Amino acid sequence: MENQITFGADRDVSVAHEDPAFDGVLHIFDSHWHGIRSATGCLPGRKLGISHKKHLDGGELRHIEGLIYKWGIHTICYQGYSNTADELVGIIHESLGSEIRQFCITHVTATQFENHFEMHMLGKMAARLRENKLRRLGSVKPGFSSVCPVFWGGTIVNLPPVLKRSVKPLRSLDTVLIPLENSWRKNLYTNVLAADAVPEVARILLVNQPSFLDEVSQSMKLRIIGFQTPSVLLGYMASSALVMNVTLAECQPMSQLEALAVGTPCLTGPLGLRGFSDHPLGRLTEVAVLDNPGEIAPKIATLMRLWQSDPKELAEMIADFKEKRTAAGIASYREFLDI
Amino acid sequence: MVSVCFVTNELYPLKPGGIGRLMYNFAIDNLEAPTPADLHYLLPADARGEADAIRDAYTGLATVHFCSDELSSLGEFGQYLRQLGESGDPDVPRSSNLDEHFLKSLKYYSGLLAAQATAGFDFDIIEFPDFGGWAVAAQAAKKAGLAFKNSVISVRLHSTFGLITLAERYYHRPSLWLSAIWDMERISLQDADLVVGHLESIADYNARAYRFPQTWRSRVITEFPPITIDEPTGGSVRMAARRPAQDFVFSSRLQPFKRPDTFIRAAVRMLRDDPACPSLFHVASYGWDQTYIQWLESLVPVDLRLRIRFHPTLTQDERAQLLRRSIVVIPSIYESLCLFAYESAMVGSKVILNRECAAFGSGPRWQDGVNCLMFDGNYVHLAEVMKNALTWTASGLVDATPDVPYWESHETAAAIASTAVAEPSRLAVLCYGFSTLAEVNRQLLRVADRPVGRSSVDPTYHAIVPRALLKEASGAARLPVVAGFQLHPIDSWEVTADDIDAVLGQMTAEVVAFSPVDMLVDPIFIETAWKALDADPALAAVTSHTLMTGDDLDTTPLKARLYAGGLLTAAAATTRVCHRASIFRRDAIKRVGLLMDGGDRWYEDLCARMVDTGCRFLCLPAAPVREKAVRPHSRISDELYFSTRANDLGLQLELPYPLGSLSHTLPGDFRMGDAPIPEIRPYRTVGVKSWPHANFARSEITSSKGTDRDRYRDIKVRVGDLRIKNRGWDSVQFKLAVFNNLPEISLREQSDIIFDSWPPSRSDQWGHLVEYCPRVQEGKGQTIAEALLELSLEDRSRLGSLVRALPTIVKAAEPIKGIDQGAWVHAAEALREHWERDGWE
Repeated sequence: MENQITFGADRDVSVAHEDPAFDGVLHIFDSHWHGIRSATGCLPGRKLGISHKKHLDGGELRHIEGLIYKWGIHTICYQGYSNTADELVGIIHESLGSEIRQFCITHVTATQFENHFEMHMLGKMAARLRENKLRRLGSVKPGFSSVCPVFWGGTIVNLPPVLKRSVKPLRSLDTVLIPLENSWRKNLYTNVLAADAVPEVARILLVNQPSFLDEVSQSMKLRIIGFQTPSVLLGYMASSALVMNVTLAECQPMSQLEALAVGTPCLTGPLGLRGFSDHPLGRLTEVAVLDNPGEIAPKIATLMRLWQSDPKELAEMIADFKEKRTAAGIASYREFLDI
Repeated sequence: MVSVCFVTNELYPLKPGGIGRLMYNFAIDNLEAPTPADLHYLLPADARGEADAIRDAYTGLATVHFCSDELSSLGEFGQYLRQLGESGDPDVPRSSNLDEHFLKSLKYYSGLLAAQATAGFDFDIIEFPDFGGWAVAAQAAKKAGLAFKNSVISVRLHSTFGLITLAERYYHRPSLWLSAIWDMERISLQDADLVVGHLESIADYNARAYRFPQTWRSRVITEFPPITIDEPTGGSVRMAARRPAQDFVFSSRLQPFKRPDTFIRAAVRMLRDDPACPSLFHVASYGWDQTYIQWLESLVPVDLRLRIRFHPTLTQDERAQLLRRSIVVIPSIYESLCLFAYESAMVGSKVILNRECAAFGSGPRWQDGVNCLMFDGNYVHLAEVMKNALTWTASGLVDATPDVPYWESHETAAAIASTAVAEPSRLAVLCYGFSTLAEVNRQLLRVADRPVGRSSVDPTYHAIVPRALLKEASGAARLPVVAGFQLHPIDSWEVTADDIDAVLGQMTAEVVAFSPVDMLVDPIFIETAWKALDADPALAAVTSHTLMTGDDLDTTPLKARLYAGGLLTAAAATTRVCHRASIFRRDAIKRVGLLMDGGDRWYEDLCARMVDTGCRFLCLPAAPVREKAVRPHSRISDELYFSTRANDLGLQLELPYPLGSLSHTLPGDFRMGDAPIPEIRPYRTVGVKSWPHANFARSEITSSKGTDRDRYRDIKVRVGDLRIKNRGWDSVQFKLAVFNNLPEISLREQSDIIFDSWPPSRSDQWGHLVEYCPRVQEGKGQTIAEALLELSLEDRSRLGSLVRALPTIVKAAEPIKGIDQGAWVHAAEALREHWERDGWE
């Protein structure tokens, strides 16, 4: 099951925005790369999941060509890039010609280049661009053309997920959720220590164990909920007052957008996204100094107090942010894809 | 052109058997119909091996389809069903019996969908046989609007396994496997759009046996089917036909209800009475149970083996020739029509039939002495009738004119039209089982994401939430407001029956969908079930099958789990009535009542009691619901739960089951308590030393009366209170009980009375009685009354029962030749006198 191609799977379309202009657009993403898959799940257009772990066989290729024909696809947008995707670019170009316009968007930052795979893929994307098989390369990282000049100068803006009806969840106002892996980039320990330092926070929910932290800090607030599937995690986000995602390097974290979808603010590092980092909510939730809990804790305290003093203002801020984000996201895709 | 698809597992000429022949006759008859129908046959997957031969035989007659074990027309569910079929569900061993039957039904459903796809249109009529209850899945699909919307699903009365086993008592060990079939057969007959029978008497017999109401009987169409005769090859038959037949042949299947033993015993008797008799006796048939066949062979004394012959492997032609030069004997105790009898009579053979069989004795077509000869069910009488048959000639022909098949008439259209749609009811979704706020919110998000709705009607949502969670959320006593949900706080973490009852009491909606937190329900299920409840006011609840996942409902399912809906067997012996996210009519729950003593099994208890009280369930043949494979631990153990349920139902059974047939718990029928059930085995005795059924009469026989829940309460009927409904095989239990006294005493003295086999057959017992009573009269000069009295003195405690039973004995003895009716009445009076005077009890 894992390695099969999936078209229009429930989880890839149920929280998507609708826009008839994207009816002929097919997003091709990798089923195993969760962040990219979540981001793609919010986009208007059709969705096809492939796998970097497996080459496409003849039957699958014919099936994909059949889908393109059946759904009247004229534009294909690769979300992330792998050898499998690279093969597919060539095959579609060969068999269906340049009438099918192909684009690609990368979701990496230069900090991730220590994983050399990323550079191999960027190289392949650039090669396909030279062959005119890919029309344009885009990135969700602002200013990525300063990393690779062949990339489009604009920034692709991720969209928040759509909930079909407004939800007013049952929220525990003294709970903070930190859905971070325990890795260098994700900065889990700093997030935990910052939340622990805030008196208004009574409960810290963690997906991963901050191993050996008990040797430096005896917090009674920590609760490990373990790995959760996306829909359960959304439930936890809705139940919390704050989600924390203060990581060392980031493009446009989906955790932030998912939290906002259920009305929960999310702390992040500086994202540098024009119009959003300077939004009132952005100013409240973006942290400048990432490796110092003492710098992060005041931001948490401010937000916790805002929940008590003026929850309405917070809700309005979030709603406005989502609305602007959606508009910017759709506009960026239309401009990038020329539709 | 009307299209008809017959579901069948037999199809002439590739398998012997009446049903396959009937199917073929329809195809032949259809050729000459004024407006021929487009006929299709759907065969099970295991018939694929002969696909080419079958298709050749039906070229120009009909289209033949085959089911596939792939179940691909059921999509993802089919894939998991396939795994289930291969591996079973080891977690729930008791359920495997249900699964096996349901899988069969689902395979035919899937096969029909595939056949329709191949044909390119929906069949106007889909006809299932009654046995096995195969129609259940397709019928549920139609009721739920999933498929066959414009098709009539009819069920033809061949012979249910239930009726056959009633006619073969002591042959089948009661089991969950058996009772599940019986239940499914009952449901498929009950839910059929149309029921097609061949004889009025058999339609009545079914209605009585299943206690169907008059409305069911009015849905039964009775039509006589076409009968065709094969022309024999070779000239020897014609030669042989010139001289009158003097041989006898039994050529039904070797199976207890066909009563081959009666034929053999009669043959032995005839040859013993008249050793010069020139006749040969042929048992020209086959069977599946080799032990049974060996036993039949052992009934033939060694010196008669050349006169009474078994022919297990005749070709069609050889059999036809044998039949035409012999007198055909059909001693079956039950038949729904018996094509063989008609075919034999139509080619000019003399036919001897069992009067006790409803298809022969009760119908207008067979006339004793005119177009057949009848015997009274026992071999003694059969021997006499066979002797008479040698000189008898038929004076009339049996009427076998076929009726116009129902698919050519307008009644089918009327059956389709009965799908009035009522005003949509209101729906409430009730969520419970939360242990974290995240679970509440997740449920809320699901609802927000994919709301349930039907045009103008929106459901209301209720959530029962532990107060501790609400406090965590609000931080104060004030109840937080959650958009879309009405919150019902409870003070414990566990939801009880009373909590549910209280919330149900506050609702105004007519229909309630349970949505516990550990089930993932596709909103399509709720909508479909909701519509199905609105379309059929007789339904109390709608459920479906499920897919099981590991710890998280979002992950890839592991396997399918099948639910039974309203099967009595399932309610008695499994927890598979309804999954916990099923949809109920609220007043049906109210009527049955939620009971606190069900503890954390309140839901299972509710569903089971709904089934007990006759509520009707619909189980969608689909799996739009996911549940976790591991069931939550319950404080009430499985063993305690099932034992208590068995006690409720009046089942005096130990775990693991066998279960009796709950489908046949009818007044006048009775199930054995815990008496051991003898298997038929080849065992021959000379003289009888003891009577192994002693504990049968000692234990009171459990019967059942009344309706609904009371039906299963332990009503005990004493032997003497039993009434014999007819002269059929039913009465044998009664006779065993009474006779229990008689032979035990007398046979020790009268060791010259020999049973040819053990246990003695019913005919043997009557034969013995016929012989015994006059001998008592002659030898000791006693009246029958005195003889019976003497017998009962050995054990006075039996006398009361015997006396009360006497009117029944007298009635039952009526057809027995050789007993003076007056003597019986006198015996009854004398015994009653003794009893009243001395008050023995």
